Amino acid sequence: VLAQVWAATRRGVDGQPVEVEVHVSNGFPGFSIVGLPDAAVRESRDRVRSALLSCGRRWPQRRVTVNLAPSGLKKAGPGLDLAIAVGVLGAQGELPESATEGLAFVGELGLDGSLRPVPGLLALLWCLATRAPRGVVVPMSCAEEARLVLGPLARPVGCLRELLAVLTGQGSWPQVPSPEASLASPAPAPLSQPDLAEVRGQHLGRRALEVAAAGRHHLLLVGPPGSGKTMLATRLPGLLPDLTREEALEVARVWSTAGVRWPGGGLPQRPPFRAPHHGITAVGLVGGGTDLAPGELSLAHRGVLFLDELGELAARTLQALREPLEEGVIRLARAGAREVLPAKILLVAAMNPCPCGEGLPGGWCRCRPPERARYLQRISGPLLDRFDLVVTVPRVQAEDLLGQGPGESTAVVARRVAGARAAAERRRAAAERRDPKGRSSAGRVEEDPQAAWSPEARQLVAQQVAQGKLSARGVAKVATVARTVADLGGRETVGQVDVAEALALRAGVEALIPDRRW
Amino acid sequence: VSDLGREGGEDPSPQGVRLACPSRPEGFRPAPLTLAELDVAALARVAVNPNLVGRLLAGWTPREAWVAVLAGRHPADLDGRLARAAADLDRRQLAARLVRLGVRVCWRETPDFPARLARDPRGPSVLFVQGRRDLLHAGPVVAVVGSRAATHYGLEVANWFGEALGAAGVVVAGGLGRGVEAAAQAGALRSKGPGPLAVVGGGLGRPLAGEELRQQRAVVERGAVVTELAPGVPERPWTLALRCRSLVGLSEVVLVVEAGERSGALRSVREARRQGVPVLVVPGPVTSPANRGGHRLVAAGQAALAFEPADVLATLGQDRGRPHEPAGKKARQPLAGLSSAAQAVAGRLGGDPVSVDWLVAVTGLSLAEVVVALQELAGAGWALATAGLWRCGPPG
Repeated sequence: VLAQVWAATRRGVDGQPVEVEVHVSNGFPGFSIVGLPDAAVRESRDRVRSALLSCGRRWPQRRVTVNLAPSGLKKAGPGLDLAIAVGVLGAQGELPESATEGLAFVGELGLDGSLRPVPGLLALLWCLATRAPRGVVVPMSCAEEARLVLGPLARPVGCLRELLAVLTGQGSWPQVPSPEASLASPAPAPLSQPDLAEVRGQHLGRRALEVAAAGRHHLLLVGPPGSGKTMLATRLPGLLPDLTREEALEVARVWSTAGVRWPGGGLPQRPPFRAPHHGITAVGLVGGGTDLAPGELSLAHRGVLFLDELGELAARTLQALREPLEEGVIRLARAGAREVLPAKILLVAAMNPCPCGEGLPGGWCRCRPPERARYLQRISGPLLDRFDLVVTVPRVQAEDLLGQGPGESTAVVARRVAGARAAAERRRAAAERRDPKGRSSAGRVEEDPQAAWSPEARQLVAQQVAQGKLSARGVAKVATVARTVADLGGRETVGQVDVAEALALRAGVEALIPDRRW
Repeated sequence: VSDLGREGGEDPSPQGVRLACPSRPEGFRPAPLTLAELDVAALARVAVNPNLVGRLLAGWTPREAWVAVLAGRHPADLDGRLARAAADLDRRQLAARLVRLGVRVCWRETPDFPARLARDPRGPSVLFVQGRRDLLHAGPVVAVVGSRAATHYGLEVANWFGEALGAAGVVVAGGLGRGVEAAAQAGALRSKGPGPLAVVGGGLGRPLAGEELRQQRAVVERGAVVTELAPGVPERPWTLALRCRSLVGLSEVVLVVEAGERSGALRSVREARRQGVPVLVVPGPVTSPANRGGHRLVAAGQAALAFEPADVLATLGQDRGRPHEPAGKKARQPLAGLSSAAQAVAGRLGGDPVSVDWLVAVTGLSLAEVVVALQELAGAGWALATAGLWRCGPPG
């Protein structure tokens, strides 16, 4: 009369195991679900009933109570359908308890008993891995995804009838095409990424992309419309190295939670690139809602988030970027739930220097100064501080482009980026060996930025400070960027060239001072 | 003090009254405001139009004029409008306002009224001065006028001229607010000179905000703000037109930095021609419409060129060679001593800001070489950067 079956529901990017208890007793026929179900879970009653009848099973003409434990946790989504259906059969005595022992069930049911995929499957499987020693039953269409987490313990089935056949001992687990075969069949077409070689001129902008990719420096491009900001930004992901397996799993998990399919399917290999429209809300960016769904920041985890028209974003949305950029995670706290979403991103933003777009020195800006000031004040100081690289991208004259051949291709620059990252990693490891505990409380070993600087480099920075062109914070920014530039050039010592480039890559900050005061 | 509001009776202290000012700290002694000054201010407030004030004061002492206006028997008050306004005027409030703002009033009869203004029959008859009153006689005055919506080039040139003229002991005059005139005054404030003179087209004590307020505070501290209009008179197109005549009337030279073909700065130029004040024009890029008005003046022979502050001093009769290098700034190092890359880059820099990309394209050097060369040039005083774009800066 009582059956217990394991399933899971989603909380943020994590899964939460749910024990589905079904009790069938004498009494007036009826069906009730307790344990804070949402609308989709409550409706599963009708789906489960139709699916069971379609499979030729009886629906109990008795009182059915379904409890979803832990009862205090809100359950969302239709992924509990399958577990409820199995539980109902178990409680009627149509399935022996041993048949469901050690198994967990995740899937949405169709009225004909077919199984449909569930968003956030990866997270659900992750949390069920320890509860279900015999495996987790998943919809066939999610077989590949499930296998990433569970390997052979993923039990994909096509429909409820098939599953019941297995559970009652009348069949065996259905065969699934092997991962190699499945990968071979859809031919994983490499995502067509724009190549850096297509960008003519824009030497400084190209260099900014390279440095951003090598040192994970957030980049802000400032320029008039049509100067190539977007063109540059879309070429950044191509410079990043492939994802490691752990990174890929993190990315896949976030994407699956958000219910967004990875283009091409399978495990992501390249870092994600997200470019939301500037009308995005703060919640759309950082995530939230009642089920604490991940936002664009999390979808761009381990990849690139491109915010075009940064100056047109709502002020609230902009300010919401501040902590995630600093910490790499988003700590959401809502009345009913708390969640930490991953957000290790490389941010590229593009904006015009003023509302009309022509406000760079030498341009014909038609904005009134208060308009311009209002526009620029939205990019608050603290937000601007998150960008190590601020580059002005002036409009390129057509005749300047004619004489120039194609620049270096993405592949060439990506190799340099990989080399620079390796050098930085070696240095970090060496510093960790010297001082295993780390100097900062965050556990990160911070280098002294000016430790390995040539005298000319120091002099150049000192000169900038003396002229009032560089603040203390500016010095720190220039120091980290100069280090990356030196790594790209394969130099152990940061020289004058590296500092000069770092200064040039930050010079755009001046374009964002609302009113140049005289 | 209580007698201020009562007219016609014997004033207890005919030489002057002192008002306590609640907004000032204790122990602060505001400058004494004489009864005559208050009378003139009251006349100006009632008449609003400065030309009418001149007619009210012509041949009358301030006291006589005020009493006559109040009694409705001043011949310049044709329809009794002034008498009604005078009856409604709260003189005590006006006096408190003048004292609070630290405003002094001078008119044609007072000794500190600028002599040249007093000689011009079409000139102003009253001036309200906030700040350093002695500034009207502190040295030669040069009006720097130009576009409010100035280009970077214009702002920079105005700033350079302002600083150099200030250092040479010249009083730099202009308006408050934005653009060329504000930039020139900021330059004068930075120099050790006598401080700037702002001539505004509205009554003093107008509520200001933002840039204008900052500028006003700085000018009042080191220099002076001057207007023909009584406190509380709002800024209107016709008051701005009046501003030109006082500005030019106070100045010995008018210097135009960036005036487009329809620029308001040209109004000051017309006024200067009427008053016989020499006009100088700082040239700019011929490609830029922001300079066409000024260039046209030179082409028509109505103005002379000034391409460095020494030209202005020469026109003032202060030709002292080049003694006015602002202190603390190094002269440019000779180009010949710099690296060949720096020389190549320097050859491509002009007044228009250019991008690093353009320099890379035209010099054939690598990005790294160009950025190093630019830093070298900046250190040597040859290049200036704004927002990542580079050009030749003023040598000062």
